[in-house]
Amino acid sequence: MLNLRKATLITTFLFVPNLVEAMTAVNEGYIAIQNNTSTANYHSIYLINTNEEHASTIQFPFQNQSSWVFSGLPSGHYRVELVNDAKRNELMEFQVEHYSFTKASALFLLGLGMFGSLIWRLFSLDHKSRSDT
Amino acid sequence: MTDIQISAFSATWILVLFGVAWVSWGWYLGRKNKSVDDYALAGRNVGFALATATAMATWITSNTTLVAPQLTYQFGVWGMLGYSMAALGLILFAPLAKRIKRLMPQGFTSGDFIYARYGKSAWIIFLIISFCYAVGWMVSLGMAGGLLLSSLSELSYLTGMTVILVICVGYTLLGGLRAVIATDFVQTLLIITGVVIIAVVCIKDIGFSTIHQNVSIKQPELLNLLFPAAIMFFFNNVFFGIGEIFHSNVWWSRAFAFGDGIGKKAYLTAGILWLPIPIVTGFIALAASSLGVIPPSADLIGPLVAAKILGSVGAVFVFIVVFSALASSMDSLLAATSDLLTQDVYHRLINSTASPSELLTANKSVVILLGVLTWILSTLKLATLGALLNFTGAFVASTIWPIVYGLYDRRLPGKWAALAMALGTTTGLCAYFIIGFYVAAISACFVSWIICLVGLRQNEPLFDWQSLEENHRVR
Repeated sequence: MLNLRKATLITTFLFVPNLVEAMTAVNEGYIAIQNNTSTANYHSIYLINTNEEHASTIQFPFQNQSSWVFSGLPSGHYRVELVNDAKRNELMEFQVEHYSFTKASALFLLGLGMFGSLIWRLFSLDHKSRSDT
Repeated sequence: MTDIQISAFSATWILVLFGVAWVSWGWYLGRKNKSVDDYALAGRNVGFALATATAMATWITSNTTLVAPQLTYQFGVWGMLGYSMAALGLILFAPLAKRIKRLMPQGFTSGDFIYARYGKSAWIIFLIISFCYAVGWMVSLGMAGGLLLSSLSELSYLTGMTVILVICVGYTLLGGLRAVIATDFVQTLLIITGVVIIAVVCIKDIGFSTIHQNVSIKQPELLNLLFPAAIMFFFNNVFFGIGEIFHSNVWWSRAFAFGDGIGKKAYLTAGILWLPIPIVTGFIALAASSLGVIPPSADLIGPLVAAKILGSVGAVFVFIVVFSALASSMDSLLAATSDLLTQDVYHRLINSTASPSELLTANKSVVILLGVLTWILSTLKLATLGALLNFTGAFVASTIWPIVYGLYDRRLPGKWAALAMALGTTTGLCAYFIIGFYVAAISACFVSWIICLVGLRQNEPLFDWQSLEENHRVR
């Protein structure tokens, strides 16, 4: 595992994989939450960001389906609750921690450089092949 | 289950009507096929309008109608823009198409070129890559058919997936590439009309300001231009798209099939026309929070939002549009992959003295076998569409540099091209499993590029372009 991580480290410019348990921590801001309740007697889903600085509660209408995918979430600690008039049922908690911008930019710049090089090589070689003809 | 919009009865009738229409038309067009050249390459004389339409329709697929909204839902603005950059694959392939036709006017497949240019080792690795990609894409299309039907109607995933496979195998089998190109033309018109109507209704009924306000509150990262995972995804998708087109026989077979001087113009036009389509299809995913839609799976967001906007009649409309998109890609992939396996595996390895009629029979048998294989794998439903497609990115992006240098630079030796494809793919797969699907293609492409650069500095004999055509004549 360590060697595999080292290989990835080299090839992707210092991207350290996230070792936190996949179901409770996400790096991409989206998560699929399984619906493990047996009843459909809810009217809302609350997505509660419990971070002190960015505390917020977002309300979604309840839809009785096998799972729900939430996306576009900023970094923070979240709690998902199913709500009806009588009670609130906590479904799960999870952590969103986005990749660092520095590491993401490094990969972006690598892509930009390689793309620029591809365009330049492609058109210079194409031009040269036409000149040769 | 999500809200059901179309009854099983209506969905079945739509499928029957579509199935009969496409398969009958395929049979009608297939009557003109007299040789394997007619069947596999439509007589090598496809004109500009059909050429542009087939290139565009093939590239409008489950990727565009289901995965573009999925990636917008996951990665926001970057996801939408990144997806539209897949047009660069078509645009950059334009000069390659001209070069391919000039170097190998009687060529059949991309495998033909790799064998003649780089030799057997590189050819075997290339075939494995092509096959993994083609199967991955076909499975994603089969899955998309199943997901589409199960999310918009009372029919099951298995029924939807089976029906789309049977219809596409049916008319590809009967009509060959000629039927594929003709149906693509009509499917393009249906898809573009449908996509534009859905987007216009979305903007008219909900409005930009409401969408913006709701996304800002409920999904703020989708509007964040410094969203790290989305930034990582952007160029990954660019290289994935370029790799898909540069290596795949879907696009090479069209380069051979188009008339002289048509390929470059057709690919360039198709790329420019295709560019805004993922932005339109992706955009509707941003309306999800305004409509209170939370998908059970990210790849369902497009059809669910569209059905919610347009109501039950709209669900039928969405169904027809996405079904057309799926069919236009599935048929092309079946035709091109069967050509590749017939010419490169059956003809080269199993029966090198096969007559034209034996080749035609083999080609049709391969179409059926591919359909069965796709059906079996699609029943397993291994991943979301986006994740499955990007898995194949690790394979295809490793071929970009070997293809470019192979077509234009005589210095790159075959063993280095083989090494570039093998190690590039391995690296991409490691990145896929350890980091995420959004870094597979870029990692593969980078490693492949470095190996090609080393290979170019080896003092080995220069390749003789004449041998490309001679190699094909010998066969």
